[in-house]
Amino acid sequence: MTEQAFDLAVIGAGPAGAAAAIEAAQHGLSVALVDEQTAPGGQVYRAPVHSAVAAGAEGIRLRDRVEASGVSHFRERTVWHVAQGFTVSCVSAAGVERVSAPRLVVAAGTVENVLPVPGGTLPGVIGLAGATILLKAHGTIPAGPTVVAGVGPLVYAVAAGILAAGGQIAAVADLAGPRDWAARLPALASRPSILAQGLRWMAEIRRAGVKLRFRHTVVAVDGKRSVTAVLLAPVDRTWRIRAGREETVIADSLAMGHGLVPAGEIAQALGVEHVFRAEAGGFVPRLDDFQRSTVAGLYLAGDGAGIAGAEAAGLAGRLAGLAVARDAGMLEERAFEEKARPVQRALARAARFGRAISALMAMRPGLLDLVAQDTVVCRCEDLDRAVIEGAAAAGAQDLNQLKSSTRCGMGPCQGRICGEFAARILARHHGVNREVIGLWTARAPFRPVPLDSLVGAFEYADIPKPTFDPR
Amino acid sequence: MLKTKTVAWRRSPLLESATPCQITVDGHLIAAVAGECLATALAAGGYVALGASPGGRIRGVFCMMGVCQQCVAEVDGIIRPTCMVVVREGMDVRLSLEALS
Repeated sequence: MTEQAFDLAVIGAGPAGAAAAIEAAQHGLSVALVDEQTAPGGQVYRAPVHSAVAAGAEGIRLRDRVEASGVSHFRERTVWHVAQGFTVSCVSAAGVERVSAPRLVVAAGTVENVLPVPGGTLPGVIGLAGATILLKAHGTIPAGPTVVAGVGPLVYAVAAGILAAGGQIAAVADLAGPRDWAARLPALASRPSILAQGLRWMAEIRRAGVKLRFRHTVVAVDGKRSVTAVLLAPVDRTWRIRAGREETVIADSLAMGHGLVPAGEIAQALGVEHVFRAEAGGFVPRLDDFQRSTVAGLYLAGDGAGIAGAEAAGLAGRLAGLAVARDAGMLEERAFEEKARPVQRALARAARFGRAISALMAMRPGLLDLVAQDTVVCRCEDLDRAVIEGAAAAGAQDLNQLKSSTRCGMGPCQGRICGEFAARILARHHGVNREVIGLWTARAPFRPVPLDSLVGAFEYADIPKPTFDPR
Repeated sequence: MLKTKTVAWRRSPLLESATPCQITVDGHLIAAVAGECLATALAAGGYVALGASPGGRIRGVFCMMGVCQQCVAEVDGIIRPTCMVVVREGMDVRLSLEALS
């Protein structure tokens, strides 16, 4: 095992982590940027896995800047443990490595909520974020007719992306209605280029003659071994189904997503204090105005610290990088304040846009009514809503009690996929707010890792044995 | 033996003309592209069912970012999420479908 020391370690090479790493490096710190992907970009600017797939302009720019920055990029590393102080343990094809640094920026991004529906575990159903990765990183589209559903701009990005790549969209179902979008217009208009992009996507979808259903949801997926049809229904303002107007759409793929939740497990495991902010996606770390957390030397940035979008993530990353440089004594207080102030202002503007999108995507109460008693919520352990309700009736008050009594969230995804819906089902059962239900206790390993890659190769004779010494 | 089934996902035409290679899936040779994602290669080769849940439900690719673990398969002897694996010539992939009836 190798261990390398740096002035700063950064986990996550999306826009936030990359910006933090670059900013700190520019102020003379040695920086390790640890990431799971083959190249920087995160999920939003995800790099093509193959050179034959064209990359987006923002991603190319970000990768060029990381390349030129002198940051040590540890790519294709899965972080499975972080010790206080800080030591980041990762595993890759090359084996086990440790990166240590007195300061750590965590920019871990988000996970996507996907509504549990009957048939939703069938192959052919993928997350909206997953669909964007198919397009961006793999130049791949579903071969047959596809339904795109859920909420937020990704619905339109994915549908337009599949059409542009020559694919076939059977229907688009947006939980939001034109009025929901219009209500956000003032905030959205603060970023005209992004707004224009969204309107272009919508126009392309209409031009292709695709069935576009506002205020509609997926209610069920049909198929035996994979998707064969998707059942859609209209919803009201609370996203509760309006009876009697269901529609069956023949399709063999479904991409759907229902909002994002910050991936907070590393910060939580390190003891960072969290607060609940619904508009930022749920539990978020308590930060000061410079991205410092309540744990000394630990900074957070990007959507993993509260959903605000890619532009805000890059600015928050820069701010964290500046704070690291100042705290490490590489930037005078006055210069720090001068450099930080414009970044903070730009961040506030960008976050306003991001929060408007986040508010549009925030889950409304009717959505939970769509999860039937026999619908699988926890995919890893095959647990349906009835199991969760049963545990709640038997006294499970929070996620950890649910986990220990049912195994919900105990499978290989460690509750990342089902956690938000499981928590909301518990909250509904007990008639309490989502925040009362809490989070799973975060602990390592943060990702499943092969035991033999942690242990390494050894012979029986290598195992230390105490010598027999009776005295 | 070259296995042909329904194509679930279609690669970009640029990828189709990139360096071809062959991988083995449960003993069957399938055509793939060196450097592409394994989950993509499997879907383009007609493999959508990659495993089974404890209750015997079919499992396939879901999150595409190494989180959900639904797409795991044994790759050259190690269980890995196929969405995070880059295809190399001669890769030996074993799906875990025995739990399916």
